[in-house]
Amino acid sequence: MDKIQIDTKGMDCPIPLIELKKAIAEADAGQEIEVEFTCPEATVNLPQYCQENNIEVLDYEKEGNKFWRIKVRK
Amino acid sequence: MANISGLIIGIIFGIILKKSRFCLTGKVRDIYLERNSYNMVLIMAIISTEGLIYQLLGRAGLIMIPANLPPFSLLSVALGSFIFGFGAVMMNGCITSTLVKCGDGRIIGWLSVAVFLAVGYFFSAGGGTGITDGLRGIGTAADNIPIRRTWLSIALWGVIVIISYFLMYRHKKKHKPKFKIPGRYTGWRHIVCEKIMSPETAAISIGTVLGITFFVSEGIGRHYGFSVAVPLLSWVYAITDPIYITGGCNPFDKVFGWGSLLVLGIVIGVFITTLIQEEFSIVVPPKKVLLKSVIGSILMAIGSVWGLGCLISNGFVGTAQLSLKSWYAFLFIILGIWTATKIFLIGINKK
Repeated sequence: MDKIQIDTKGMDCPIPLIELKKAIAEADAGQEIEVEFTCPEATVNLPQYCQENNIEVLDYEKEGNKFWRIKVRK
Repeated sequence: MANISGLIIGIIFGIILKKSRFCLTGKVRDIYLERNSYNMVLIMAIISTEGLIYQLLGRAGLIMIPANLPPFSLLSVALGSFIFGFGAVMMNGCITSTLVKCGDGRIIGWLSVAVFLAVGYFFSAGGGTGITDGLRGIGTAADNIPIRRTWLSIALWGVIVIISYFLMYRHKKKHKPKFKIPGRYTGWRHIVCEKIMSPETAAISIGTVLGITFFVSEGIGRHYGFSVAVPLLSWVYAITDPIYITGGCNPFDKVFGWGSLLVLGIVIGVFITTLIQEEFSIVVPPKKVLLKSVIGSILMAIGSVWGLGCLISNGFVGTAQLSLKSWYAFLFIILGIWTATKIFLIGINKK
């Protein structure tokens, strides 16, 4: 299974969360999804959504001061 | 020099917004979009905290609580507030969020401010004042809730403070975040530079700052609370010196002064926090969001002039003062936010 990659850089909330939810809905069980985002509000919204919906967060990192990247598994 | 207190209040407010990632429009929007009813508790915690402080300051004789607030047009306020809420969703945040975006490097924030100033000026001091004044003359109503100057209002806000704080405590206990935002520090540097303020602490802090603003503002003879839209426009009024300004219900902010520095302070507060958090970055928006954001900013500008205020001044300040106009405006701002959410976001959220 290929990893689903989503680039929402430059877009503000709620777009990153909406894109993540859309990808989770379309992904197969066990498939990985990676979202890159610049919206500071999404640094809380995305992991919070994953926590509340039992989506496993594999990796969560900050690329310098440019953007954040979160990798989850459905 | 007295105007510096406005700058300081603005800086503190900007720091809280940035440190907490708290978005006022987002909180209202997500009640509908994410079916997040807890946001109602946070909103009521802000309003009641501020309302209680406002009433206690008034009872102590430290601020003046007016017997009557200016009458307002039922049509103009309803239409303007609805348009404002609608535009805030298109712009992904109200005019206060736009200032946050300016401070943390998002170009879309500066673009939005420019559009807001141009359109807001046109409808408050330029060629569109005839339409604004015409609308404001239709269906006027008195703004006088009798309990505003009685002990009953203290009791009302006191009860809501207790209930909302209890619900926040219970929610926070049950929903402890298990994730950590990426960072590289520990100890005090992590707390200062990276730790995000919880929404509960943010709600109480925002309510407290908004409440204290009445006292600080009274100190320079400005008998009004926190405001963003007209103080932002005052920068253009100061440059162009228009012959006539329709203004809002607050004559102090039509001229450059305390309010003007307050809005500048928000941008500075956000900028300082963003630098400390090592997050400052110039973010250029993709072309596909530009048109929608510009239209959103135009609607917010028209809406704040016709609606006699923005989300913060009507939804979070006037409501705490028990202004009928502000509760009426807040209702239509919410309707505008939810209508735009239904049109632009619900569909793609379900896909």
